[in-house]
Amino acid sequence: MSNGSTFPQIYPVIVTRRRWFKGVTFSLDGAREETHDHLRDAGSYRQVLKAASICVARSLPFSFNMVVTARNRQEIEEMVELANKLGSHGVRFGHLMPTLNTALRKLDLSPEERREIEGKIWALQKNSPVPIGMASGYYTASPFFACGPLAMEEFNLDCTGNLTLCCQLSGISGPRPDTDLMGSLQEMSLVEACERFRQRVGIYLEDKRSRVSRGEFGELDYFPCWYCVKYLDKVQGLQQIPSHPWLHSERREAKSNDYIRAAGKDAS
Amino acid sequence: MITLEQRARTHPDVVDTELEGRETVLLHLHTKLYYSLNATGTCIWQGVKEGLTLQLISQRLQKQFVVDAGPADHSVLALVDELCEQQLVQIVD
Repeated sequence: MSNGSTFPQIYPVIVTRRRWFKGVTFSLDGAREETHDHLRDAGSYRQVLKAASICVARSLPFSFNMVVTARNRQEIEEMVELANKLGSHGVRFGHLMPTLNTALRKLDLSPEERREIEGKIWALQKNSPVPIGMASGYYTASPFFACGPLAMEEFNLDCTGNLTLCCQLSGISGPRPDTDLMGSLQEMSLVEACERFRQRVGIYLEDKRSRVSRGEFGELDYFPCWYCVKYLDKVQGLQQIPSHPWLHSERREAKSNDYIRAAGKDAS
Repeated sequence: MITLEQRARTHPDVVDTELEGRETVLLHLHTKLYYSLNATGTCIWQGVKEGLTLQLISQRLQKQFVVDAGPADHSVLALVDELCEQQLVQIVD
């Protein structure tokens, strides 16, 4: 994954090692320049397209990744068209994880809006001229959706050298950082950190199984990344905005569960 | 008709990327079309970006590629004409 900013400097190295190069994914959060630059920085859209130009000129496979927000949700079809015209090998859409910052910038979509967007993306996938995918985090029917890290196929290393359980909201830790942080590679070997990771995944899955069996797995928990950031207490900042659509939906669901439990008691 | 006394400027909707100093890739943001310029084209493009007259660009070309004035003038005028046609540059005066 790259925002394209350093690609003009590093591509000569890639060209000399193209046998091992599978491809690069550029973050492009808007099909339109003004959208991407509003979400990122002025000039960043052109930076990405410069990088794409290099890939085309040097026959290096590339694709785009777009994080869908309230700001760019109308540009999904346009993004597919852009990817196709620019010679991208595909386009992947992902959800934005809500934080206090994204809430204040009014970028978050409600759970209902997310589902609607997902429906649109799955429909587009059927007739798209370029491969379309979705990054982990979309609504899944199984509570045990295995993302790359949970399938132990990927390890997330943050920019300070910490190996973490979850790749979402990297750098944000809840009140118990050890639940997410496996260790710093500046203090332990990769083998040791990966072993801790493996054990942590086991604990995580056990916790999830017992939550499901207790009937405490809510509707929003079927968005796997939301479940994880909640499990890891990484969304505390959102409490400052009680009207936030995700917190609101969580409360509504909790109330509804209370009602069902109370009704159950009455019936018994 | 374009003359050597004129200057051109790059179109604001064009993203240009120089590769290893001898090739330039142009991408027009509206048409989404890529164009590739060879070393000669890159020299002309750079001159346009610097705001040189086409005459001065031709002189630079003559020096850099050791060519006579006639063919150099022709190359500059022909390329700038084509770049104008593709809306990659605009004639200033």
